[in-house]
Amino acid sequence: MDRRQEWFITMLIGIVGVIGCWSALQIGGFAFDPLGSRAVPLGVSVLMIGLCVVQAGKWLLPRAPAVSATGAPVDIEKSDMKEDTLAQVGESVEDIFEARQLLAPLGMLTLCLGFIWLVFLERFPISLVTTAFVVVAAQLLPMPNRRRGTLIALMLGVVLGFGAEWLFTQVFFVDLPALG
Amino acid sequence: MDGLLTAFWFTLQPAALGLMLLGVSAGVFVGAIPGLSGTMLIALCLPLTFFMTPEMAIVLLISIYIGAISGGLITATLLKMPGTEAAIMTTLDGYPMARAGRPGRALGLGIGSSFVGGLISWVALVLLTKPLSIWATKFTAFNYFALIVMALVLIAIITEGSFLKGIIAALLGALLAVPGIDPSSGTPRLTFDLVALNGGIDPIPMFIGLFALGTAFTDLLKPKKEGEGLSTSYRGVIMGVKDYLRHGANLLRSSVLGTWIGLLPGVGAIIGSMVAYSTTKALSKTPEKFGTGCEAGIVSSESANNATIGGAMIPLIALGLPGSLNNVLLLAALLIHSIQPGPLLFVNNPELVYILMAAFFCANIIMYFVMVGSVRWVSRISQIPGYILFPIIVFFCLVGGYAYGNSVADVWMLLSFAVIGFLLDLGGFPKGPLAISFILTPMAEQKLRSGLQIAGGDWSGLYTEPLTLIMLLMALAMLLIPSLGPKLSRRRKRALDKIGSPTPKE
Repeated sequence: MDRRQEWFITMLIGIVGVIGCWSALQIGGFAFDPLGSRAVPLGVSVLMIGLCVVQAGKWLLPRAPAVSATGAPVDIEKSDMKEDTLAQVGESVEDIFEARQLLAPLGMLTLCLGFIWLVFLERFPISLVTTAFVVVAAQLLPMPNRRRGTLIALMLGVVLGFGAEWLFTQVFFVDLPALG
Repeated sequence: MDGLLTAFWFTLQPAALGLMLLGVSAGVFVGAIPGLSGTMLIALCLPLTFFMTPEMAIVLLISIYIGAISGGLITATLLKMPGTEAAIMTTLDGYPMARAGRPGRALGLGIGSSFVGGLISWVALVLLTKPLSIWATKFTAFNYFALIVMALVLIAIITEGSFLKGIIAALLGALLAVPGIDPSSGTPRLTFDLVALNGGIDPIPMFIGLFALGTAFTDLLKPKKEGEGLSTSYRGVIMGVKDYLRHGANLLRSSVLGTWIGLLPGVGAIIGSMVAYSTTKALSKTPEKFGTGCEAGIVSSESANNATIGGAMIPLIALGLPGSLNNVLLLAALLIHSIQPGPLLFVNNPELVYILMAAFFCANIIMYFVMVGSVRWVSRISQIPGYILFPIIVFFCLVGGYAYGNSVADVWMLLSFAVIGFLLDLGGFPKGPLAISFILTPMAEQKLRSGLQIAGGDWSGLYTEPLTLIMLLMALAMLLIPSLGPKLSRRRKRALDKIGSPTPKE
């Protein structure tokens, strides 16, 4: 899973490089400036694409043969196919477990999007949206005792919601989104 | 000298003292909690500094920085959970000593050494910054360009993780710095016809997203480790004069090493404490005691990691080069107030430089008292559950991002960078080179372009100016050594095998 994640993210960075390169090619040159506006973004993008290809290529290449503790290559023929299958099953289980782990950050990101949307909708006071946010966010995290944890989160949400609204509007004089 | 005295007078005013106490305490608090870091707190506080004077902003951020580096030692010693990376080496001897029934002694040595390390690096900061900045005013544009390139390469190759990933992250940071109107030609670059991008990407929402919210998302993937708490007496928590004298040479050596390593861009507190620890162990008559609760181990690790802070400040003030992530954030705080660190800072804003130095000194003293006074309850703070901490962090990130510019666009920007930060963490790409390159690339480009304009488009300055050539060659060597090194050693091994030399496996 790690290798695939790394490969996927490297490719994403490579795509950013391609977009940068394409956009840099649209920039015109100027006679009075020897370097021009295009050189740095173009150079950086090309280098980035090249290095991402190298990095991605490293993972696509077959792995080096396994080496025993003494440094001698492990005899592949002797390796037990059954053990290999079991290892593959193990890896798949691990993958599923790790993919499930990604649900927590994704859930939190969705919650953040919801929070921002609700706050800037200006239909609900920020103090109440914050309270709700804290309670829901706490539910996404492990709690030893859910009922007690929810109660603590509710109290925290109230304090944070009303306290932060007061702090930002009265102390820092920031106009937080208010009811329309 | 007058400037420094005036700055001390300023930092001793109740408002500044109160802010330092708050900053150090908050720093110790986050430093003690694994998963939270000083970088995160500094990033979160950046929008708040917008409402302060630059002097007060610097006082607050320096105090957090010092508190956070020091705070990690308490949980490293008592719970075997280094609150910050900088305290990892302290765990090796601090925890065994605490387990052996001497937690007070272990903490006392750590706190006292942190204090001394900070003070020694402060001396270096005061003595070296001005001469270095005077020397730097003589730099040509090409010299400066070469210096920034060298710093960028060093940062990319030294940061944790793979060398190639460090370089890719630095290039991504460089590319993210490009969008906006080119100051030299007035041409929009990489704006994709979005008016919001004409001013470029604002570093504040970007850094809050990358380092605070993004890190918080990543932390959701990590199960919280339960530390093995100790409940014993805290006798010996104050290091006596005899201890300072006994460990004097070690304190001095480790602090100087830490300061020197802090000077190098991108190296940081963890490498500083590792090098100092290894050096002390190598010089020790009883190296076998290291890792079993050895006093010299705690002293060297803690004095060195705090000394890196002062060391890293020197290039930041004198050259405008941030050597570490926390320094990038300090730089961003100064940029909010239209203050550009670098050789001319001593000319344009000398009072600010002296206030920084004075705040550094005073925050170290406050750190000592806060740490001594708080050891009993800081270890309990580290047990605060994630379901309480996490919503607070996320909320302050989002509201702080909005408060900074009163703009919804900043919040979306922040959230986008949180996702980018999370993805980078997932892929094992270091975020440090990205942030530092984001700040340094426009500087490097501007210096190269002005150098070329002065020279009438002649590139020869890059190889005819000795200092420029040396720095560029050093950068090239640093780039090539990590990739060529293993190949050369493999070739050497193969050659040895061919001539039948005995190899270890034989």
